[in-house]
Amino acid sequence: MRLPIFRATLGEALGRKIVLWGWIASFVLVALFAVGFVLLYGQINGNETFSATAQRVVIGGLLTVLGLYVGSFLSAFLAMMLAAGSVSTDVDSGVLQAVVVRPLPRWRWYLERWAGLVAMSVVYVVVLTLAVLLVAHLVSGYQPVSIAALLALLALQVTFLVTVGMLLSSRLSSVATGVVLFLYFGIAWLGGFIGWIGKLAGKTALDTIGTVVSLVAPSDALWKAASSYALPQGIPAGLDDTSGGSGVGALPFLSTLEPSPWFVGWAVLLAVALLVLGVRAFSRRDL
Amino acid sequence: MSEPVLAADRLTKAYGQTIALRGITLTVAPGEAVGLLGPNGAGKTTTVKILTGLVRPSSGTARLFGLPATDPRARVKLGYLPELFRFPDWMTGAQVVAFHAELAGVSGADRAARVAEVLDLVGLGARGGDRVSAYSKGMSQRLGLAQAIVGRPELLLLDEPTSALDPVGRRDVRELVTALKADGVAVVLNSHLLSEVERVCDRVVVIDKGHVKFSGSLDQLTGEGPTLHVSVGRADDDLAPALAEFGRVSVSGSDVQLTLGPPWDDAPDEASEQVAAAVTRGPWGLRGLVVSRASLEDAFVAMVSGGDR
Repeated sequence: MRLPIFRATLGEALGRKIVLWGWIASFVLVALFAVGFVLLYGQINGNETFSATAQRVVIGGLLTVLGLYVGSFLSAFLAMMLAAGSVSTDVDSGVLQAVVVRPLPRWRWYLERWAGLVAMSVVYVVVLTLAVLLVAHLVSGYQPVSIAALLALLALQVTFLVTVGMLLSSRLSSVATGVVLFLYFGIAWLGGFIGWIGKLAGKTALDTIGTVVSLVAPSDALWKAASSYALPQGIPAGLDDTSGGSGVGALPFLSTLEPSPWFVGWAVLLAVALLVLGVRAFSRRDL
Repeated sequence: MSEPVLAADRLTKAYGQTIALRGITLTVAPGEAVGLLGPNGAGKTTTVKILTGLVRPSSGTARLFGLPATDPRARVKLGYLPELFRFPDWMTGAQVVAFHAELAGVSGADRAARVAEVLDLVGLGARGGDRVSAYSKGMSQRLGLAQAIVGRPELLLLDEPTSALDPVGRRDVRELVTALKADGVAVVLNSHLLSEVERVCDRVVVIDKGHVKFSGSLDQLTGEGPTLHVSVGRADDDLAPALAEFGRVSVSGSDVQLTLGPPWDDAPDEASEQVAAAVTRGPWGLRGLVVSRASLEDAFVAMVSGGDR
């Protein structure tokens, strides 16, 4: 057999026009970003009150990261939407019953399904990110610190969300999975915000809460880790840090500090553990 | 004796406080057609789901072709039509069957021909290119049957296969199942349509409240053999002894009820002729003769209405 469930998962996304609408939404996002970028860059370019470095940092750094942030949110949203009904919808509708009685181990169905959803989510976030970076580069010659590291961390973020979503979907209904998954995503975002405030205000307790949340729900921290590689190359000292060495940056949605390898390793390990848990939960479930 | 294709041994299943099965034991031999009967909520579908590995029993064992039902290798020769099913509505009927053919291990070279063959068999040959979303309920049920048989199964589990079909569709399915049975395919038919079970199955298993209440042939379920209702012009004391060789005789006025015994119970038409001849030879005068037997429905209703119910 040549990965029939993986192919069926991709075929379903195409057949249901999920991919088509995803790309239409992405095109609109990139088009809006391009218009905004060109207009703002045109206004600031040649304005003597802004230095060339300031143009690169303000426009390149903030606008590009903002565009990527929205793209990352869309990608996370897509990943969660795909994962929320990935198991439960097929169980509830009865589609799955005729499939899993085939001589196909349940773990294989689960992993192929997971791989299909991850493949779609990763391709989506990679293409969207590259499109935003291309616009920024064509207009302003923008160069991020590391495209490869940026893409890898964004791919890890959507992979993580798909993994959590499938685990929930193998136990809960589609609606319940969607609710829990968005709460989880929201808690991750809130934890990141609390941690940012803690760093800015020098409040250790808040900082600790942010750290703990990022370990339990690392999606926001993975975005921030990715954003550190999206910033422009060669940021002058002093512009990359507004809080005395903590590397928080001027805005709560980005970080100028490269992520700790331990944190990235932890996120990978957590995703693997949740994947194993999902396989186990699905394999033992009565259908 | 060949190994059973299906063997369930003391299956129990509890969903929380609700006990669905209380020790189901049944076997199906190669080429045998067995009907699963029982009222709603009796445990039939739970039994079928355990036999297909969809549900794990609380205790007991379920084996297909000698292997545990949860082992994917046990399901290589299994075809299954679930009671509640849907197929991906973004696929065409042919794509659904091809997908299941691939999962069932039909080789790529053989697949297209096999898909076309089974779509023709279930009467969807001309509609295979249509999307499933455009199918009627009856067409979906035919498609369900197509995916169940596409892997050339040796055991076919059909859960209410004709519930959405019109009379013509039911006849088509019955003929298809009969042909498969003639080819040596064992069939387990879970159906509320007793006439379907009566026409297709060699044996029936009646499940009620999680128990097997009966397992045996249709004749055993319907009780005694066929009955002849004879009407005579004048009955006397010699009439009953004259007919005793055919079975148990009960005379009431000019009406005689003759429950055929061996060997006549296997040949009720021949028995009718012989009884008519015997009555005509005597002084009683034959007015009429009707053959009847208890219907499966009567026997089924009596069984699930009585006992511990």
